[in-house]
Amino acid sequence: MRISTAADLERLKQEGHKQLHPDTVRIMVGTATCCLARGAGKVIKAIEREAAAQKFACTIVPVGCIGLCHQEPTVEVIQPGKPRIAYGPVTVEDVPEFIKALAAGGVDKKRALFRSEQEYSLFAAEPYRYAQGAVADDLKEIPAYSDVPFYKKQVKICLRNAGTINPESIEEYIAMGGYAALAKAVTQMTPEQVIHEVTKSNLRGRGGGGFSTGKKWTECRKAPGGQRYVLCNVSEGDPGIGMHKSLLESDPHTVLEGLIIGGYAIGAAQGYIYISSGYPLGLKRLQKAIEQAAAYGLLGTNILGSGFNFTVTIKEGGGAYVCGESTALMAGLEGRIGEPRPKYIHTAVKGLWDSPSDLNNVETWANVPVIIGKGADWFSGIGTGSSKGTKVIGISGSVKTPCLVEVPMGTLFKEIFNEMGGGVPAKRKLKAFQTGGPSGGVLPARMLSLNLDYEEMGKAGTNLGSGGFIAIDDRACMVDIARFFTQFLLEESCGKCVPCREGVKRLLQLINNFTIGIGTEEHLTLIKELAFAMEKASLCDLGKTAPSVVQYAIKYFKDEFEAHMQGQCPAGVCKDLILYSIDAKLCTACGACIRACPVNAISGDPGSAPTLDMKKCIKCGACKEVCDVEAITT
Amino acid sequence: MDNNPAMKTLDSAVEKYGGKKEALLSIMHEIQKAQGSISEDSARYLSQKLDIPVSQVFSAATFYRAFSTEPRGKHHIKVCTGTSCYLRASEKIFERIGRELNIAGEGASEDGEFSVEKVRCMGCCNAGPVMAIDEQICEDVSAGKIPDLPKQEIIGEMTHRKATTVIKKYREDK
Repeated sequence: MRISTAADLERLKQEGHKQLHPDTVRIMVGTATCCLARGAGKVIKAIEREAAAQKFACTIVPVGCIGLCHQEPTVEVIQPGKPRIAYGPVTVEDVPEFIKALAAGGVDKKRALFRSEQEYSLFAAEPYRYAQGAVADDLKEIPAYSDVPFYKKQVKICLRNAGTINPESIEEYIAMGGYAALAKAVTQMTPEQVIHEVTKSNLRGRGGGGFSTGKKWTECRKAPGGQRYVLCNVSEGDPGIGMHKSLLESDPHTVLEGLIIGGYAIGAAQGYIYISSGYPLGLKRLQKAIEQAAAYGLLGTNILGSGFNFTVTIKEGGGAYVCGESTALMAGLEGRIGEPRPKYIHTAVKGLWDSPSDLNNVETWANVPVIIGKGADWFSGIGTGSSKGTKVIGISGSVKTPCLVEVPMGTLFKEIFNEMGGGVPAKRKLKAFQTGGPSGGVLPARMLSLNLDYEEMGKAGTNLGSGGFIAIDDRACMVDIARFFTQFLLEESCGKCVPCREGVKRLLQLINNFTIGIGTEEHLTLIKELAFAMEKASLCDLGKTAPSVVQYAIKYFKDEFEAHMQGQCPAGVCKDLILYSIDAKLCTACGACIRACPVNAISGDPGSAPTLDMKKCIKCGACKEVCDVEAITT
Repeated sequence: MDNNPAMKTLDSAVEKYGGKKEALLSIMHEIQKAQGSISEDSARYLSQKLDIPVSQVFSAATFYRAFSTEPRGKHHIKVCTGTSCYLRASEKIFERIGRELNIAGEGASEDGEFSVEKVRCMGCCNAGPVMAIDEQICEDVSAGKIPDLPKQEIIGEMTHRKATTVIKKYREDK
């Protein structure tokens, strides 16, 4: 069936609504890559098996990620007439008991996390209520969604449908108000009005640059030329980020709808989505989304009877960090290697195949349908003075509860880290945190009072980047962190311009002086000089920002660099500066280290502390890792 | 040359994308998937078919991490070295695998059974450190678990234990 009018869309919405709220029990299992890594695939199979065995009629639906990664595999259940309840973790072993409780029409209280009385919806005038009337007494002990600290401060725009809809069902997306913004844009608004709305919303690039999306669109629309393109960048090669992947796997249609609206606004007939090669599931779901949209006529010719034609092609990237740079990405799209070019002429004027092109990040696109649907004023009511809307943040590293959240701009990092990430694990101390990836910075723990805002973060020496928040605890060595990022950039520098290609190499050499204990003050001065030259002379942002992490590591953690000058690595990470030894007082003679050592350097008799042969030791740290009483010291 | 089965894969990949030059990367992805590497022969053949210099094919094959010019092993192991996994000692996991399989750095074992590669973020930062054997992701790995896996739980299709027994058995056979 082809959707050619708004009335058709409404009809389909009703159909999707029935799918979302069936007469039977709807069991929704989180199936983003993170959930699958924790065994969600097996859980689905187990639920199917168990439901059949217990003759329990239910609909099992794969959904996206609800963000509670530490509770995975997560399962949410809607029983008709009852509140929706989230459970986790539900492992394969738990399934029989879990299904038994559901089949009896009850609730598995042991695994219940929270209940929702109504559907989270941005577009519905009156949100759908799962249960009518007051909460049943027996359910009151399960916390309500609105009381869960993890969700309290979150505002979901990009992830509004994540966990609720089947990402492979366009009907369910439409039921949640999807494609209504597209219909509004192409039938009731001129392209200029769409751009005006986006400009007014103050939406800024979510890939790290923070450039005004509306301005970019205006420039591209006004650029001379016939053919023009809209492009979507799905985080190419950035280390430490799972959120773009999760967004795409949870709700591919919101990205697609944004891109189609962008195409209409800019006057492009062709869109490209450039997706990293490491995202097979996101790629598959996006492909399906495009096929479904095309089947309904939401892609193709004469979209919704407006006369607007638009197609989207997916291009799989090759896994190169530099391809996050716009001109390099376009080179990749053209089938060449991803080398950037100077940007005297903006890509909005001369981009892909020398035509005007607009490139935005996947999260930026996901915001667009909401801005058009809810209006710029609604959107810009969220956030700070200069940073509007929300940001999807992936919290990982040394935290108790790694997770995926979407918070309003202006949220304090302290809140994100403590209330959502759960703080540092027991016995550890937070030393620093990293945002913005290899082009960002490392900040000391005391700067957690910083808030999520493009300008504030820039001033502090980092950037928002694509939204990864990595907590670093006292086990990490900051000199080693600086080395890690520089090593990464050395491998990822495309090699086109000398300041970056040679600069990163020399930078790494200088840092390595510290990791082997021969660094001096003079080396620090050299790093500063080199950084200045690289920032000024590199061709693209990869080279310009390459010394950033190193410089901020030196600025905030000078004491660690000084310790390395004295030949000491306080955290015990830099191999050349440490010697392992066994503290006989702490040792319980359990023998774990003897078994763990891959080179048989540790030997001893049962009942007494073993001895370590330094001649054989390769400093792999396997013994330290297995020691429960921390008797292995450096 | 056209009768060679390897080149047939190439022909069909080229055909799938209408022989367009700009589809070079997409075609190379197909070849990489089917053959496990972009060999010199494939690169030369592709350059003829698409009428582009062989240097262009070779530069793409060496520039992008998704392609390899050396053949991969029957089982391909990817170790995540994204920031989050690095902080959780993924480097040690990589070293340990290398030692167990007798592979220096990245590459394949002599008999072609295994190959190991460092990859960037696999998007499972919450479950790190992660590695993947033949695309099956194993979460929460540690160097110590590589040889004798004490952890019992089953993860996805591939268990830590299974992963390590594969490796361990291989070592014993040697």
